[in-house]
Amino acid sequence: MRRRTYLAGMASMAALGLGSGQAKAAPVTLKMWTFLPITGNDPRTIALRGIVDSFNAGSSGYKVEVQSINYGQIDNMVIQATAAGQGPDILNVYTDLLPLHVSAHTIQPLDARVATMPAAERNDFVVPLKFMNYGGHVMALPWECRVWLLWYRSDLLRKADLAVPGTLEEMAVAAGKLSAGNVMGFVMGASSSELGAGAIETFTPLLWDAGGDLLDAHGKAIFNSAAGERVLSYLRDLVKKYHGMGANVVTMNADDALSSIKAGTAAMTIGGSYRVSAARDSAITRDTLLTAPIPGFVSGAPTPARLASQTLTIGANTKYADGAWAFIMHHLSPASQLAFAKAAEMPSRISAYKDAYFTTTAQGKEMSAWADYAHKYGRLEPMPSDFPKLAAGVAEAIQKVILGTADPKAALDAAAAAYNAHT
Amino acid sequence: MRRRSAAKFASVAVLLAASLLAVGPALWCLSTALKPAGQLLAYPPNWLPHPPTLESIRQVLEQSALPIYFRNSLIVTGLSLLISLAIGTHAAYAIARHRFPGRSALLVALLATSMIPGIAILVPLYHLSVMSGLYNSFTGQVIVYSAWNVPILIWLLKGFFESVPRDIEEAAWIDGCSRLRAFYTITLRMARPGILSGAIMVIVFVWNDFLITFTLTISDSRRLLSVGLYTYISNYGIQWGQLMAATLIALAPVVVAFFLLQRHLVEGLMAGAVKG
Repeated sequence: MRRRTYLAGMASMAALGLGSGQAKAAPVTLKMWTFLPITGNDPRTIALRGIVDSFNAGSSGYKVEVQSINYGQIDNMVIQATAAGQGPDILNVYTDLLPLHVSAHTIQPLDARVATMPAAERNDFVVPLKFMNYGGHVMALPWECRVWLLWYRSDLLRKADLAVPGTLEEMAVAAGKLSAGNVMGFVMGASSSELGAGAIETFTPLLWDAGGDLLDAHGKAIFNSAAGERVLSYLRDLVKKYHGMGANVVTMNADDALSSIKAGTAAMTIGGSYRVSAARDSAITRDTLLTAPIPGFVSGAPTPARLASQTLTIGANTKYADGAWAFIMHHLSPASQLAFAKAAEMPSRISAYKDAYFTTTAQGKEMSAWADYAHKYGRLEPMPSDFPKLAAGVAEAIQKVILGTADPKAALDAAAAAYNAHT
Repeated sequence: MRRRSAAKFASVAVLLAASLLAVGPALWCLSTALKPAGQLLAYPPNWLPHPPTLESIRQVLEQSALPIYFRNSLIVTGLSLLISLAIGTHAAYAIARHRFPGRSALLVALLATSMIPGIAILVPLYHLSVMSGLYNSFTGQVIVYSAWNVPILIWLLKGFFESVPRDIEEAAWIDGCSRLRAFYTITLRMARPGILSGAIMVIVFVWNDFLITFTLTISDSRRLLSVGLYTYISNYGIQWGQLMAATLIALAPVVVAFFLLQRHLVEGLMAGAVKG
C-alpha cells in the first residue's frame, strides 16, 4: 500500500515536473531579446510593452515575444544561443558591442532592406548609419542614442559660488574648491570592474579633444600618444595638484560615480545622457543634477561628444527576417520614438525632434540640446570586438598614474603594448 | 577568578563581533528596504529609515516579476528536494547495507562528481538541454539540480543509515515486515536528522544558485529568484531600495527553513562528521 502510494507520489511529481517552458512557437512568433525588462512599471518597460502590443495588434502576420536578459549578460547569451541554433529573431545590440556580434556571426547584414528605405529616412539618424557599417555591411539600426556629458550638481556649485566650467583647467580648479570633507569635486569610475566602462568613457572624449585616437585604421592601440599622455597627466593633476578628485576613484566604477553624484558626495562627473533621468529619481538629487557639454582643453570648444546607441538588428538564426524587419521599422516609427522619448530615451531619428514635445516640455528641450551637441560635436568610434580588453588596459593605466606607480607615458605604453600583443 | 572573567568577556566580545559581521549586512539590507527613496543614498547615511516605508516592498511585489520568480523558485526547489531525497535515501541505504563489487569505487566516483566546478560543465549542460528540448523548462532545471545534489546526499545519508542498528530491521523482518517496508517505517524515521540536514543543504543550494538557472532559462516564467534579483541592476543604474526589498523576500524562506530545522541540521552534520 505504502509502496503504491510512494509510486503514485513519484508519478504525480513527474507530472508536476511541468513540460518544457519553451513556448511551442507558432511559425509567426518572433523572439526578441533585449536588456530592457518587459515586466514592471519602469517608463521604458511601459514604452516597450506599448510598442510590442501595438505591433502584435496589427496585421503584419507576425507576433513579437520579448525575452529580457540583464544587460551585462545578454551578449554572451546571444553568442551561446546562436551557436546552438537557438538565437533570437530580433536582438538589441549596443553599438560598442556590434563588432563582437559581427565577428561571432550572431547577426545578419541589413543592406538589402536598408536599401529599400528612402534616402531621407536613411539619413535621418542622429548616429549616422555609417557607424553601423562593418565590412561594408549595415549591421543594425539605432533606435535610441546617447551622448556623454558633464554632469554637475548645481546646488553644490551654487553653494561654492562657482560657474559651470568652460575648460578642463577651470573644471580642475572648481573641483579643487568643491572638494571638502566627504565631497569630491570630480569623480570618475576608474576601476576595471564593469569592463572598465567608467574609465574609457571618461578617457576617450578627453583623448579626442587632445587630438588623439584610441586605435589606428588597423585596430592597433595608439592611445599612448602625446595626447594620451596629456589626458593622463590631467587626471593625475586633478588628484595630486588640484585635489579635486580622490585617489579612491581607482576602486570606483561608473555606477559608484553615479551613486556619488546622487548622494551629493561628488559634484561633477562625466556620464551618459541615458542615465540622467534615473539619477534624478531621488529626493536628494532631483533637478539639482544638470548637464553641459564636456569642457575641452581650450576655451570655446567642448570636447567631441562620445556617441553610442542601442540598436536593433536581425538574428543570424531567424527564419523570419521579413517579420523581424517589419518589427524594427515599427520600433523606429515616429510614434515609437516619441513613446521612448517620454520615457527619457533620446530618439535616434532626427525628424523625431520636430515633435512639439521637444519644444514644449523641459525633458524634451533638454534632449533636444543633447541632440544638438551630438549633431555638432558627435563622434562614434567603432570599438573592436575585444573592447573589454582595451577598456581594462586603459583603466589600469589610469589607476597606475593616479596611484603614482607609473608616469603617464610608461603606463600608456604598457597598456598599448599589452593590447597590441594579442590583436 | 579574574582571569576566568576576562576570558569569558573576551569570548563574548568575539562572538558579538562575529554575530555583527554576519547579521550586519542583513540589518542594513532591511534598513535600506524600508527607507524612503530620498534617504537611500544620503550622506552621511541614515542608519534607520525616517519614517519607515513599505514602498520598495510594494513595488517589487506589485510592479515587478518578483512574485513569478518566487513561485518558480518554490516549484523548482520543492521538486528538486523531493527527487534528490527519493533517489538519495534509497541509494544511500543500498550502499550502507549491501556489500557488492565496486562499492568503494562507486562511492569515490560519486564524490568525484561533486568536485567538478559547476561552471566547467555549464556549456555542455546548455547544449544538452537545448538538444533534449528541456531548455527553458522547470523539468530541465529540476533534473540538473537533483543530479547535482544526489551524490553529496548519498554520502551524507550513508553514514546515518550505517548508524541505524541492523538488529532493529532484522527484528521487523522476523515480525513479517518486508525489507522495503522496514526501510520506510523504521530506518527512514531513525535517520530523520540526517535526512532533514540533507534537505536543508538541497534547499539552500537550489534556492541560492544563479549559474544553472541563468544558463538553462530565458523567460521570466521559468527563471528563479537569484536571476530575478539581477533585474534591479540595470543599464540605467541600481535600484537599491527595490534590490534590498527583493533580497529580503528572497532570503525569507531559507531563513525560516533554517530556523525550523536548525536543530536537526546541527545534529545531522555532527553525526555525519563521525559516522562517515
